[in-house]
Amino acid sequence: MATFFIIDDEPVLHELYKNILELTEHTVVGEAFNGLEGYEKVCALEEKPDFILMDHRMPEKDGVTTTKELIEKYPDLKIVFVSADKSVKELALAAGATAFLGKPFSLEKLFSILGTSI
Amino acid sequence: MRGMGKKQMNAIEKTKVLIVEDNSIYRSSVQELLKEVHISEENIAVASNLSESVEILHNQIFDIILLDLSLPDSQGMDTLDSVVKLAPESAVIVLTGINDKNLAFEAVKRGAQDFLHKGEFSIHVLLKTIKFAIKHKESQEIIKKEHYRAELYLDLLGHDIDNRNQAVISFLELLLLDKDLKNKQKKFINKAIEQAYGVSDLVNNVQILSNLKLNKFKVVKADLSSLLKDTVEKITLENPGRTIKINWTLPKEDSNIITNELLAEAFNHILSNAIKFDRNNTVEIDIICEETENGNFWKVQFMDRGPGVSDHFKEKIFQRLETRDDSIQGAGLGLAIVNEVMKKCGGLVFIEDRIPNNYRKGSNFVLLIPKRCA
Repeated sequence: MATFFIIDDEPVLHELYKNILELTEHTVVGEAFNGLEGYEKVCALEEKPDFILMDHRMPEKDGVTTTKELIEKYPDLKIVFVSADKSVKELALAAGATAFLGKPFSLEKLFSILGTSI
Repeated sequence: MRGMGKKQMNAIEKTKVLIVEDNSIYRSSVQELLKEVHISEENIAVASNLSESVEILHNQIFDIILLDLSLPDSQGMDTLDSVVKLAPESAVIVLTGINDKNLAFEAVKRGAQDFLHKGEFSIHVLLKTIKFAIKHKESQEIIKKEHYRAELYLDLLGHDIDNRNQAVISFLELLLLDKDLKNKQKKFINKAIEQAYGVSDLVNNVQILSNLKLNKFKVVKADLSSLLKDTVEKITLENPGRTIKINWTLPKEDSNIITNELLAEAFNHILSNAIKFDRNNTVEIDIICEETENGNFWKVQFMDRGPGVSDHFKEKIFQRLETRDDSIQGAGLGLAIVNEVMKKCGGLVFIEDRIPNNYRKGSNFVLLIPKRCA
């Protein structure tokens, strides 16, 4: 099953993502609570995750900038952008995100994007 | 000055004024008048052209700029635009010739606070104009700040509600996966999920309305028939528990339009209301789309079989934002959005009875949409 890295400043959403992903037998290989921490941790990972779940409005570095920097370094990364700010959709996709998911989304929508089901 | 309290005199003494005027005789006479209204000499600066003004404005902030628009190095509105850009915090009073009334009004429209006709004003008029211009500028700044704050609150609120709602909805959905749940429990959980989406929709609608009011929307090319069909398809998916039957009357030829990007959003609100308020097992709606006789508009009608709208509310129902009438407080923001979208594209929306003079048999929402957004 796939591996995931979570970058979001909301702790409750980390808890949520972990619950959803474990239920579908995916593994969370790491997590960060802002863009800068996310960038550094992903760079340090020897084996890159299959997917990154990326928030936008975060302290230190926002999601669009983090996505841009990560994609420049690792063009094959699959970043699923998840944000309550729908106005950044185009920016996120231009930065290299694989998909954009506006919050609040249903589990069904998340799974259809990840290509998995329960 | 006689009749002026000490406090006011102090305030006017401290007023910092820049005079921008190329005619040296006139410049001196304005300077003299300013001294007569007790503005201290050290608080008055003068410039005889735009480049001198630019230099002064880089180093100092003024309460008032008395500005002649015709300078050797800049003319008319260009002068005003340059000064307003350089000194956004200053109140600008434009000095014009007696025959330049249109110019004066145009200047006020473009950011000046007031105007004075050269050689035609007394000390009293000058003093009054200066005071008024400062007050006017202050009010404008307060409005600007409050406006910014309202937008910021709305943005933060919307963002944070969606984040919290994400957790509410998803944890409830995870709960639904429990195989031991009774049907009644599942039903309650689904109701809660539906309400949480409703909260996000509500904030989203306020944001849409706010953007419409601020003219923050795009004008796009679209095909009206496809737009209607896509909206119906989307809304059918969003209402899995209801049977929706649409009786279509669509134009045979192309129905291209250039319109507000939120037109589909407007259709969506009319259809959601029709589905929400129709308590029949099957929701039946006639959608008729045809050209108007003059060929400039598309007329789109949505005829539902819901409870209808009495004559008293037919107009009011679109006016949620213009009135605090309690009798329409129950109505959501959807129809206010429809009204605003139509207004912004030069169109019109109104309600008729599906069966004339019998509103209880359902409503006909009529939209007149220009083929080309105004």
